[in-house]
Formats: sequence, C-alpha cells, structure tokens
Amino acid sequence: MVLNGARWILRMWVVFGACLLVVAVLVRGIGLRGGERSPPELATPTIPEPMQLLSRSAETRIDARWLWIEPERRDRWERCFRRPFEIRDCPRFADWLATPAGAETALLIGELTRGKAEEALTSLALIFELARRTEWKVGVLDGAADATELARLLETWLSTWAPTSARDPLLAEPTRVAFALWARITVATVDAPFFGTDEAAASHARVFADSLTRARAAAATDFGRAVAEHSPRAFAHLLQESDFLVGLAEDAARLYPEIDGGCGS
Amino acid sequence: MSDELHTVTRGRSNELELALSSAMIAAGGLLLGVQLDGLRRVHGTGYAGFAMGLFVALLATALVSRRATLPRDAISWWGALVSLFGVAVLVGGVLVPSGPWLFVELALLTWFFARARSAPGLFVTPQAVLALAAMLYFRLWLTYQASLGEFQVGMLEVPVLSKLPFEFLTPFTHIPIGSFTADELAIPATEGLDFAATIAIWALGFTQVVVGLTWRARAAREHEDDRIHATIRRLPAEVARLVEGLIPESEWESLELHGLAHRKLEKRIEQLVRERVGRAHDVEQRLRTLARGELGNTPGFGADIAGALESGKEKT
Repeated sequence: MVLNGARWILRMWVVFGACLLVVAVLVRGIGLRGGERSPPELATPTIPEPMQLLSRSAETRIDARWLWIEPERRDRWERCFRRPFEIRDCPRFADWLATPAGAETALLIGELTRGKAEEALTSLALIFELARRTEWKVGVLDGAADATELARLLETWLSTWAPTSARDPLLAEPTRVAFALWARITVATVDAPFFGTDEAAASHARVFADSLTRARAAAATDFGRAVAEHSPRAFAHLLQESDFLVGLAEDAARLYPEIDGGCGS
Repeated sequence: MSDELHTVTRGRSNELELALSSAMIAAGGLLLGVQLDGLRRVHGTGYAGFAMGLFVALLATALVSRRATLPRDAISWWGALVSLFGVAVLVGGVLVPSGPWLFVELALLTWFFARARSAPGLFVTPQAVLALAAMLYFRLWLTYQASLGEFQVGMLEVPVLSKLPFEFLTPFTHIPIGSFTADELAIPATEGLDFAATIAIWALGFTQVVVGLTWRARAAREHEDDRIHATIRRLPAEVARLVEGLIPESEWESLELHGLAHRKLEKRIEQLVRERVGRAHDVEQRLRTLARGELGNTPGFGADIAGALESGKEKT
C-alpha cells in the first residue's frame, strides 16, 4: 500500500511537471506583437475619409460652405480658407505668415484648432497645405526660422488633440501623420547647423515628443501606444537618445513625399 | 523480503527525485520565459531565444549520441526530455539579441553541452555553468541599458575630441558599441521593463534550472545504478554479492553499464565477471608460486608492496 501511494505521488509530480513545461513554453508568447490586444473598434468618423483632407486633393473637398465650421467663425472662414490653396511661387513660410493674409489665416487656424474635432481636422488640412506649398527647407543662408515656425504651428495642434486622439475615430490617424510631419520638419531644424546639431532644438523636440508619447517612461500615453501599434519602428527610434525622430520623419517622407520643404521640388 | 522492500523503496525514491528535479527545471523554465513591464504586467520573452536554445540542445544531443545511451524506462525518458527543455531555456535566457556575438555564444554553449557523460539526457558541467553565468551577466547588462533607453552595449569616448569645448564636434566625441533594439530583446514597446523585478525572476529561474539539471543528472545516474543492481539481484544472493564484489557500484558508470539495454547489460556483466575472475585466478596462482626472496628488500615503497604481497600470499 505504501508503494502504491508512492507510485501515485510519482505520477502526480510527473503530471505537474508536464503541465509546468507546457505553461513555460506558452508564457513566452504573452504580449508578442501578434497577440497584443487589437485596437479598439472605432466608430464611423463624422467626416468621411478624413485622410483625404490631408492629401493633395483636399482642395476639391473644402469649400466656403464647408458645413463643419461653427457660425461664429464662418466669416473668417470664407475670407481665409482658400488662401493656403492659392499660394504660388513657393514663398518662404515665415515670410508668407508675416503677410496680412498669412496672419489672418494663422488666426483662423488657431480658432479652428481650439474648436471641435471636425474644425480641428480642417485646421490640420490647412496646415498640411501650407507645408506643401511653402518653403521651409533649411538652407545655409536661410537658417531654420521657417521650419521652426511651421513646427510650432503643428505643436500647438498636437498639444491640443494628441492626448485624446487615440479614441477619436475622426482624428486618430490624422494625428499620427501630423506627428510624423512635425518630426520631419523638426529634423530639418535640428540638423540646421553646418556642423553637428542644434542642441536647443533637439532638446525641445525631445521634451515635446516625450510629453506626447511618454515613450521612455514606465507607461506610454494612449497616443504613444497608438504610435507604437501603427509605427513600431518609429516608436523604437523614439526610445533612442539620438536621432529619435528619424523613424517618424521617414514615415512622413514616405506618406507625403511632396511635403519636403521645397514645394515638392 | 526487507532487502527487497529496501531496494524497491530506494528505487522509488530515485524515480521521485527524477520527477521532482524535472518539475524544478520546468518551473525554472517558466520563470526564464517571463518579464515584467513598467506596469508590473507579465510579458513573454519571446520564442526566438527558446528556439535557438532548443537548437543548441538538439545539436549537443546529436553530438553525444555515439557515446551517450538511450533512456530505458518511462521516467528516464521524461527526465531526458525535460533536460532538453532545461538546456533550451537556459541557453535562450542568456543569449545576446543578435550579431556575431550570438553565434559565438551558440558555438561555445554547444561545445559545453556536447561534453555529456554516458547517462541519458543533457546536464551542465561546472565550466558550462560559469560560461552561462557570464553570458547571463552580459544579457542583464544589455537589459539594464535598455531599461535606461540606452540601446547599445556602451559608449566609447574618443580621446582628445571629447575634451574639446566645441558643440559641432558632438557627433564625433562618442562612439556607440554594439547597438540593438528593444524588439530584439522582446522588451514591451510601450510600457518598458521593470528591470529589478525582471532580473530577480530571471536569476531565480536560472538557478532553478541549473540546480534542477544537476539534480536530474544525479538522480538519473542513481536510477541507472538501481536498474543494474536489480539485474544483479536476480542472481542467487551469494552469487549476487560475489558479482558486486567483482564489479563494485563505483565502477558501473566508468564501465559504461549505464543506459545499456537489458540483454546487453547481462552480457556485459557476464563478460566483466569472466575477465575479473580470470584475472583474480591468475593473481592467486602467481602469489602461490612467488618465493619469499622474490619480494625484495628495498625500503620505503618497495617494502610496502612486499608487505602487501606477503599478506596476500598468506591468505592463499
């Protein structure tokens, strides 16, 4: 009887060991990219095909009767909405912004950014068009003022909408590409000096990227997680000490090759 | 009867040790397969390292197959299988993410594990433990660097240039050595790694697997000894004692009796008994005919040997 009891104990330990062995193999797959939780199902955005507004065909969709503009902003909208689309001859961005037309358009962009989500997307469309049609490429003599101003415009937009964009069906993807465009413009300012880099610009960019994503912290923000899910390579670059915007800048160059700071030259 | 009960009980205890050590290896493997992220949630370490460890274990098994032996019962098979798993997780837990170092480590570990003895299954030699510990330290260093956002082994400061106070020289003052990415280490991209908790888990898992493999190898050897003992004990009691006197248990492993199939084991024991009885007979005959004067008279070592032969001669 004693020996029978010992045999049962032996079998029990073998079975326990077999279960542990199976679990030990399976646990290695926890949290792998393929097994991660899928992004939350997003509701249908209010503006259909929102990414079209950031493309070259935005001009065909946005008009004076764009129904997403609040009544109190309608007048300024009708005066200013067309101006980015009418820019010719690739002026420098800071120079254009300094004109009366440019200044009022910047006011409109600011008001729309502070409005509701549909207005924010519209303001982003205008910012993208400005980036497409003005020159902000850093030159030896021109410095980085244009790129810096354009980047600040995007920073204001991103600071307002990035924290809540991950769960917004309208702004989720536009915010990520706006972040990528901001990175591409910022890389131009950081690499502006003939030798080395602009440490102040790099430091500012570091702080801004970290505040939006908390990529290097214990827990990323919702926006950071969204960037990681859709652009894991770019997110991995964000974790690096230097060249942390390279991944995002390359994404922007791939998605919008015409937005190169030289009006698509 | 009580001798048989003692033998059977001892055999069961060795089988239980095999089962316990296997469970210990599996538990250690579980710990080596997980890591904690910044929110203390469990993530797996991925299958790449485990697959490479399994490759090392299988290659080492193939390399020792000519001199190693097959397990002869179910519990031995189980122990051998778990030892394969143990080596796989041990190797997988210490490998660097990528690069030429990875292949150097793979080759080195394959060589270490291919030096197994005849007992079935793989085990760790003390030299292998030292090599694994060194590799684990290196892996922990890489993980620590990654937890700080530093994705390189180290940064080399360029002499002279790094001391010059010119901003434009910044890109040239430090050279990164051995860069890698978070993906290669299977570090959770969004939450980062809880370094302290993770290394505690890995250290515990590493120790458990190493101790488990050593314990399993010892239990496997004793289990084989029990099997040989049971074979000899099938003989009449006096004959069995004589055979165990001719072939002491301490020599069974060196005589490669471990892991032999039942029929081959009996044949080998018979062959050894025949050889040793013949040798004993020859020695006894020679002692009988040895004259006292032939023993010699040299002091020290010679006198000691002469004394031993003299006492043997008297016993014949």
